Amino acid sequence: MTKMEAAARAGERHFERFALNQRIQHVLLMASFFVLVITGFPVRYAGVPVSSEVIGFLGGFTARGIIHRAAAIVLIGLTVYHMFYVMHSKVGHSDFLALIPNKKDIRDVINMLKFYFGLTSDRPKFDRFNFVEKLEYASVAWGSVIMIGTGAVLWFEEQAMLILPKWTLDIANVVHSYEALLAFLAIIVWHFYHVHLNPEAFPMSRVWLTGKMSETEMREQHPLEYERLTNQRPDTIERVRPKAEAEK
Amino acid sequence: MGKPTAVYSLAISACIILFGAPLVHAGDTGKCLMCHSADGLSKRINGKQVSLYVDPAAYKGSIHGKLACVECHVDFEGQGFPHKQTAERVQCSRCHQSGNVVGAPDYTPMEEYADSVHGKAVRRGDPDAPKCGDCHGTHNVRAVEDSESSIYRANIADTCGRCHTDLTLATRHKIPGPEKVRRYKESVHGRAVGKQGLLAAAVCTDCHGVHHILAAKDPSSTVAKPHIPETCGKCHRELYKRYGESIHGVALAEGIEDAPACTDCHGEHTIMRPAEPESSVYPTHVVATCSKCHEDVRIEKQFGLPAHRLSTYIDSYHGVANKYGDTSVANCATCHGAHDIRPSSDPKSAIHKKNLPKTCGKCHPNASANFAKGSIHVLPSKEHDRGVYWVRVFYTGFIALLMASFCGYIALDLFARWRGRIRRSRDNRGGVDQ
Repeated sequence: MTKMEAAARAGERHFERFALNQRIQHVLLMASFFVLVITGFPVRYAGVPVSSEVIGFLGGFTARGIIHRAAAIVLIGLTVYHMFYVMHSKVGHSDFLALIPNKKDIRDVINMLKFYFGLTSDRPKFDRFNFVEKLEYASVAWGSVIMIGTGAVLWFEEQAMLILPKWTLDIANVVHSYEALLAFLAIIVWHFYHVHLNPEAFPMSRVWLTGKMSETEMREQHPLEYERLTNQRPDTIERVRPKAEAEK
Repeated sequence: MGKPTAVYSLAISACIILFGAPLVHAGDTGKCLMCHSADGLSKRINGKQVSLYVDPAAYKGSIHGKLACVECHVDFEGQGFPHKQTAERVQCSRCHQSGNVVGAPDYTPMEEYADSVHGKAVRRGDPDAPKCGDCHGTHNVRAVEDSESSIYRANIADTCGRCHTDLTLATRHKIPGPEKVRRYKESVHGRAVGKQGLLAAAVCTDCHGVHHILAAKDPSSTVAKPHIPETCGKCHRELYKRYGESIHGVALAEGIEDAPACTDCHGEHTIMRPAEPESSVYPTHVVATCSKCHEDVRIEKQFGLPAHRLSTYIDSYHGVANKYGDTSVANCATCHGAHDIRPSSDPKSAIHKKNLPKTCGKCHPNASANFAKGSIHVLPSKEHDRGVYWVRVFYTGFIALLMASFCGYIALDLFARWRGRIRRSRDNRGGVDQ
């Protein structure tokens, strides 16, 4: 927290990026995701020696199944809660609307590539969420729907087969398996690069813990939002820069 | 020569002093025992020290206890006493022949014995080959139902084991090693007989034969492959019947020796209960046991067996759970049966499409006809299980494309940072501001 304190002493303002509620949702999502990966991958990769070790560590194959389903319940509960959250809470709703991809995102991608290839000297200016973040949110949403849907069919296979023929369960099985791989790779490559491994964030961006972003970072990474908050709607600054300003 | 010779001389002297030199007659057992009851009495015959001792109690207790010595040792009948010549081999067949009048059992195993591996070895002049007395005992011979008999069911393994656990003999005669007897004793049969006293359980002779023991490679042996089902079936009647109607039983009866007999799945001397983890048919071992043949390329090709049965099972949830030791999930035998395995084309087969809901229903109580709509052994390809195949193709391509894009983007981002085109702006450490 020394950096935060240093920043606070320097009088720099901080903007609230994630509310406590959202941070808790993120932690639950993260925890359930990794438990699901750890208890699920040994089934997909049963031939790999480390899988046996993991199963042993978890207390056997039956225990693995129980833990996997328990984590699934957390994820399902979180998903259901999140749907209510984006519909009925003010912050949730406005953030959800801000996460919907639009034409500007496509332009941003093109401009970003232009910038990378040296065709333009400025990076595109992002609003509250850039296309990387929007893609991640959309991926989690679509991934959760697929994983929960196929997972439920596999969990309640007898009931499912009252309606569905066996071959659809085979497809549910293979989809569950590949979608899991896709999600895992997306997290460790795409998400981890943006919040951990890129030189700007390394070793880790603290936003998911503190929920706050410094004014410098805001200006740099979300300039459009920064302008909007500081110029057009100054009244909202109270909400987004709690302590530093209040102490003055 | 020491003590035995001294005792021998003393005994003979005593006999001569007491009885003079009478002739030995039937009923003179007491006279023989005057000398032969001396523990340690022995003689060197053909360079080998041979005990001449007869335990009077063992003899009296034997089934021949009422017979006089000379009734078996006929070469001494009417001879002088004490005798000088070495005893000839006793011919058991003198009495043990069919139609004998002396009251010996009317069962005549002599021809069977002569044809056996043991009898043939004796004829070859093999000094190690077992003769009647080696199994039945000599002076202590008892009836088969007498629990002190060496051929009482509970004692058979030890009796056979006297030679068949002897490494020297095993090496010399290339007979199956000592391991077999030890393993048998640990098997379900050996434990039943030895530890629980269940005399009905199989002992060596039940499978290998009694007097007519033949090598397993001899086609007429009871343990030659084509005869194994029949041999086990002597006790396991119902399973024998079911096996006989199965695809394996029918094939073996047709002379296809690649088809499994009982021992190919259950083992021979090592047979365990299916519920015991050491068993080759324990739920988590069944897969490997069936795969000995069902993953054998030659057997698969020769008999047109469906391929990839093991790999497709291993890829299934059942296979994965089974691999990790879950004994409750289906293994090969759960669906296909054990002794009554039939091809899926047989309407009586547990895996006939029509019967699948019932078979699956053993574990999945609500199993409907939907269980049969699709493959059980899923083998995705353009021809079979196309849905799974194309989903795999799609995801493989999609994941590859996505990861390539992600990595490419990240590479561009890192390159831009390395060139200094994007400056660090995480905090106010350098007061970075573009």
